Amino acid sequence: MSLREITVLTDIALITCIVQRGVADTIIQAAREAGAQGATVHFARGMGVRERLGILGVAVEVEKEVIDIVVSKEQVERVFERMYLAGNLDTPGMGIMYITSLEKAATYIPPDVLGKFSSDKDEKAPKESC
Amino acid sequence: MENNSGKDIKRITCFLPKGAGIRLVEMLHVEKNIDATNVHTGRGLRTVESVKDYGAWSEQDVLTVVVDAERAEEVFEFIFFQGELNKPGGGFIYLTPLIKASHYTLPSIEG
Repeated sequence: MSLREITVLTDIALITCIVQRGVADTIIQAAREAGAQGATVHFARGMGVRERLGILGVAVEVEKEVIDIVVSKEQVERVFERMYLAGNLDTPGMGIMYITSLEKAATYIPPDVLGKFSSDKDEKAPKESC
Repeated sequence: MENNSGKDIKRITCFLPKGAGIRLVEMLHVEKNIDATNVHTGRGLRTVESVKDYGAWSEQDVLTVVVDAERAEEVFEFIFFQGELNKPGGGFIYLTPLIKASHYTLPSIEG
């Protein structure tokens, strides 16, 4: 592969998960067990359900962690479900998550991985008979 | 003063090694005249390629650029190569469409 080539990845999705600070590592662990390759986390400050819970709102952390995970569309449902369960997102105040469809993406892909995909493609291509 | 909202707009986001975000913001400003950029920092867990990658969190920049759809490919390619995303550990870039975005143009101050 020359340095001026981009291997474009398609059929991928971004899972974004906003949770209370300190919970991200558990969710990422679950996502990786379900097949996610990597994750990015940043801090944020959020409000919403905390204010609506009244006195119980003190149990909800104001500081949040925002997790971004890019996965293939094949994996997205499985990873999403595992993250949802790991973060207990069915409990009010625990957080929210959503999926964004991505048009395309790119990154460094090791030559051996690229070679494997191109050889798979060659095998699947119909062979001409003489 | 123009402050129109655009509808054919894309968002480019990339995860980069620490320090690369600001460098790219400056390059986009100087070379592409793009100022709709934002950088924030976070921590990232990269794809496991060897034993040392297990649990190896590193500090990262997250760069977000909002561009017109017609320039999206050009800017995507520019960031990919100038940000050295084509090298191991270089990061990850993706493009996603937006439904609507504000579009602010600085007024001309020349007489």
